[in-house]
Amino acid sequence: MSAAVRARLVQTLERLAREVYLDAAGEPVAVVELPNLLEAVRRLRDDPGLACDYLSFVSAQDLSPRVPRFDAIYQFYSLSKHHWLRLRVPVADGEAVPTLCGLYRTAGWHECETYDLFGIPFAGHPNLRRILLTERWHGHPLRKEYDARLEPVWPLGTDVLQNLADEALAGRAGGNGEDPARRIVLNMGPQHPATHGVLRLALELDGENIVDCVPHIGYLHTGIEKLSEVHNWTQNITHYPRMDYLSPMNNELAYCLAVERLLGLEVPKRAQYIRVLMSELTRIISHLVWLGTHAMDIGAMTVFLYTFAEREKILEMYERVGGQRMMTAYMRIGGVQADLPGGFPEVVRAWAKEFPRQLSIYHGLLTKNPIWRQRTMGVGVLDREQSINYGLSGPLARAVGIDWDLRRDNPYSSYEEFNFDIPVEPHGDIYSRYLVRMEEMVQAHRIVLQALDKIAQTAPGTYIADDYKKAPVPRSVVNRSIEELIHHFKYWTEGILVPAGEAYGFIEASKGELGFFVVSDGSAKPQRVKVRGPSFVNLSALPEMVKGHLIADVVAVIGSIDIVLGEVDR
Amino acid sequence: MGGRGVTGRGGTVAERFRLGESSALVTSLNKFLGWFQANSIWPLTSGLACCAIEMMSASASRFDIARFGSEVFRASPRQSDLLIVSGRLSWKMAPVLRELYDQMPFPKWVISMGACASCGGVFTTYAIVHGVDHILPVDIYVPGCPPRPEALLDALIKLQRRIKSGSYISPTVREGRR
Repeated sequence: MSAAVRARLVQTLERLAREVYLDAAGEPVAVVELPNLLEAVRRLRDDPGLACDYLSFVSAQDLSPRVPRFDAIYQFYSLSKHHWLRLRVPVADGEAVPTLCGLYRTAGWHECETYDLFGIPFAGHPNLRRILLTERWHGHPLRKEYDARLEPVWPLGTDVLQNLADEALAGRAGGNGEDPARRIVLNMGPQHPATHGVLRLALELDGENIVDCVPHIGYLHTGIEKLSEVHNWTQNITHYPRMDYLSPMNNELAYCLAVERLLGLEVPKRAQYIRVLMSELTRIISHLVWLGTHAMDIGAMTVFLYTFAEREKILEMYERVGGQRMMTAYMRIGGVQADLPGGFPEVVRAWAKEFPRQLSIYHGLLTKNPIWRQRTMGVGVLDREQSINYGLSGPLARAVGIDWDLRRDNPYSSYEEFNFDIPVEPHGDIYSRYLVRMEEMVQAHRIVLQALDKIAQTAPGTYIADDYKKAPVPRSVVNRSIEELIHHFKYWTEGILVPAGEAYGFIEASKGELGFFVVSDGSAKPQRVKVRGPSFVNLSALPEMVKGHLIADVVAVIGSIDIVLGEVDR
Repeated sequence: MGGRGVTGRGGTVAERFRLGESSALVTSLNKFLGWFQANSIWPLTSGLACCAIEMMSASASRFDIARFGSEVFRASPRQSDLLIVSGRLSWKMAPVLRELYDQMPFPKWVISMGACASCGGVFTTYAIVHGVDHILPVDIYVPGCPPRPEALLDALIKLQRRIKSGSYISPTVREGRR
């Protein structure tokens, strides 16, 4: 398919593209000069053969000492044709890039992030601000000369609260002509029980109605992307479960898939099925936390106690396979860290037998509950066109009738061998999102059972690729010969040398499209790791969802987006 | 009520009130108050990162922090006496957290939960405060990434033991009230 997409791309862009090539994963990449960017993107979107209606992310890469220094990177996807496509635009230091906000609303936050971390300005952007760091932060962290371990100077100045107030509505778009004296500005967060972490919202109110909402993020900015350039390819696995800490193994999986694509590494079937098994269990624990906290925000405390009790059972399985309740680093490049322990399938089956009953309890508590329905039905609606334009993915997109799931449409890790349905709801309100996620748990439960059957048919012990230049040597093999001992030593001291190139690894995580864009320069450390977190993109649509609603609805809408600030801020 | 820690050398507190042993009352009262405080520590609802999820697990059914009198997580710092710094603290968040701490009434305690809060953990980056003790006085550090809920409960019990002793001076007091 990718060759056909490439041919079409060459034909569509004509002379606008300086070069078109296929990346390590076989996805087409076009290099476009800066003045041609807008025209090229317009053609990608409008050409019926490419139909790139979905902008996955905007980012950049520092290629110094090359001149021009940066490459702005745009990743596109077609929701109808299901193909990926990337644009690279060389940009000199200080040169302004035209904004894509007019074509894709989702570009807004991505461009802010690129500006913040690289210092690339975007011309025509309605509200270009430092979204992750503070306005007074010195330097741009993802530039190569910036020291990852730099101790910052106090970035906020002395009068912190005053700064917070100044910042609050700095990002507000122009008023709509009404009397501003009626308006008050309410600060919500970063310490607020309903913001699921350290999200901060500046709400502009008319009475109790929300006129405008500006999310301020970055209160959990960790610099994971910068840190990825310091550690080697294997060590990096450690950081990612700490991003979306509600679905740790999903993050590990997406990263490993991306690196495996760069390496061209084939993963044994057993490892693939184990990955499917664990990532579906992960989907369930993530949804359980979402359900418990979402219901608690709206006032139903009991659900929280039920779902967390159920979650404990799966965390126990995590402990069995990975030795830790949350941050397992179980997925490894080339497979998984160890084979499933003895008796594990029985444990999962015993749990799986009980789980449908638990689900019916949750349904009994909420689905027909009149308070729940009144709080969620018709609230936070985003229509289909807007959702695509905002780059929404996962349950949020499926709740507004976008029938798209990467597990089915671009299968990875042998998902094509599994039978499962994809729930789609038409209304796009909080209740639809609730129904979609509830049904996803049912489907995940189905996949778990199938994965157990498939694992049973594979040979035990084949949990990691046996190409020991690229994958860790199992302990049982290390002492067999001097070559394996050398491989073992090289792997754990130097790390793996990943061939130069770029690849995009993506999965359908519990919150949507989770992608890792990785670039290697042939060394043991990544040149660039860009994380495309679904929470970041989904959250950027929050202002659109809450306008005209009441403050209490904001709490409900945030719960329905299912954000994790660790992933939003990275 | 009872318990040796509360009653001191002899008789119940009530008896000693009757006897008018005012000289002994001062130390007893400290212990008496400590006993109250230790069994009703109200933590602030301030989750930062991964550890916050384990903090929630600690308050949910399996680990049930209510057994130790701390299930009342308060959303307002004015109503809480324990700040559990659960997760990595960024420089952007640091002034906010300090503000929250300053808003808490005395006496107040701080548990630094997890490797990131205690020293930065794996995240030795420009964005992260390498240990919350740069900005707050910490009473108890809990190791782990993230610590198991049992570890958090253990920290809570240790803090209770210190408070119950009646002679425990929080680092807050040592460094002088701001």
